[in-house]
Amino acid sequence: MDELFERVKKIIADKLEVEEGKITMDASFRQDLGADSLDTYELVYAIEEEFNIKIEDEKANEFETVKDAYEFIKSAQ
Amino acid sequence: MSLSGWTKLRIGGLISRIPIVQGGMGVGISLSGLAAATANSGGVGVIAAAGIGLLEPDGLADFVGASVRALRREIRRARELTKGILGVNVMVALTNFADMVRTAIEEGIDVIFCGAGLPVNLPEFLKEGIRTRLVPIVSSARAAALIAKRWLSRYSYRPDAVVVEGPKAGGHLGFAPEQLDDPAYRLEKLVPEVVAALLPFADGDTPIPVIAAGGVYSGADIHRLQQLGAAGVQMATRFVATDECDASAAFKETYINAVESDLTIIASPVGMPGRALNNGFLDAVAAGRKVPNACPYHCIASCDAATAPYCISRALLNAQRGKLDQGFAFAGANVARVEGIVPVQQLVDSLAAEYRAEENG
Repeated sequence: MDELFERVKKIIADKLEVEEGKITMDASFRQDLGADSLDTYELVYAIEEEFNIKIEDEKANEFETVKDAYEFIKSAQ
Repeated sequence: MSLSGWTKLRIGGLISRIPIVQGGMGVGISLSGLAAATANSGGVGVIAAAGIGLLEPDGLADFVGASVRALRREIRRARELTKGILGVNVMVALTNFADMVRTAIEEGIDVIFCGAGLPVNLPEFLKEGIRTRLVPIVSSARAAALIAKRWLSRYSYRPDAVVVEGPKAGGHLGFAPEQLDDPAYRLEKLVPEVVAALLPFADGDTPIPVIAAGGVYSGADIHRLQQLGAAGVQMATRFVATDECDASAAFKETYINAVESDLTIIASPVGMPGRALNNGFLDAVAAGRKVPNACPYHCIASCDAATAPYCISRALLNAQRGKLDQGFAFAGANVARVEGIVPVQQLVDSLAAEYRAEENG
């Protein structure tokens, strides 16, 4: 696995308090990782800080799976 | 003990003579009439933006345009009737949220209250030269801190106050159904938690005022919540039972006649639980005798018109107009205590007397 995914995984594990093993590309934030709307915002804000990028609120609402977030970060870097 | 009476409520430089915000109630329950009367009595009067366009003759054909027009008119009408503090309540879940916020700011509204979702980008809409205060409505300390942190870091803007709405409120509730009776989520517990969570975001020595809401009924309640750290309260149910409330007489009657057992928690098509007065309409919904019908406009982001058994905006509008067989009334947990319809000033006077009695008792 690439280094970027490892960093993303770490933030998700930290913010959503889930085991890193559960965080796969296809995992859904809400269904599989138990995120509520507050978790989602906190996660997005943590990603902004970690990668020094700006994520519009509308965009953040579209993150359904780990892959969605990962691809966005990748393209924003 | 002194007979000092009401403490004032400060919202971003505005000073409300009495520490009461009249909660925004849609569809069409709190419009210019109720908001202006509340503002004239010294409180903060609030117009509800939700579904406001449906009050227009072309509300179904042109929901977006009619909503802007209706909100503009209600704000202007209220402004003609009072020099007091006026607010607008805009639910974040509305698909025309941005439209409603922009219109309210253009009209120079004093305060915008935003709940039913997290208004994370609200300061974006502020305009040069217009001083509109922004007040999020939350149901947890975590949400309060998240919004304060976000507004400060991204917009260098501090919430002018925060409303914390507990599980005894009427209408849509920011809790899971199983949390509603859980003591961990009582308003008396939430208020100190929100006060503490907002402390790090204070402006020097001035903390962000916290306004307690949800089941606030008497002047004694107001005093008690202030002892817990609230700067003021938001009340809605009590203001329905007033002459000036903008709903029909039949709607107000449902409040007067309500008994404890009429209260029910519905699963609203919006995807949130809601506290309402049970009736034949809701019975039919529960029994599966209602089927999805034509949706005039996708007004709430989370509503799926294809599966929703009824249109909540139209049901609430029907109730507002007195057609309770084709709709239902939202209400707070204390609605059964409501006894009669009085002028707003009389309601405020009675609350003041209760407040003083508590203060001196």
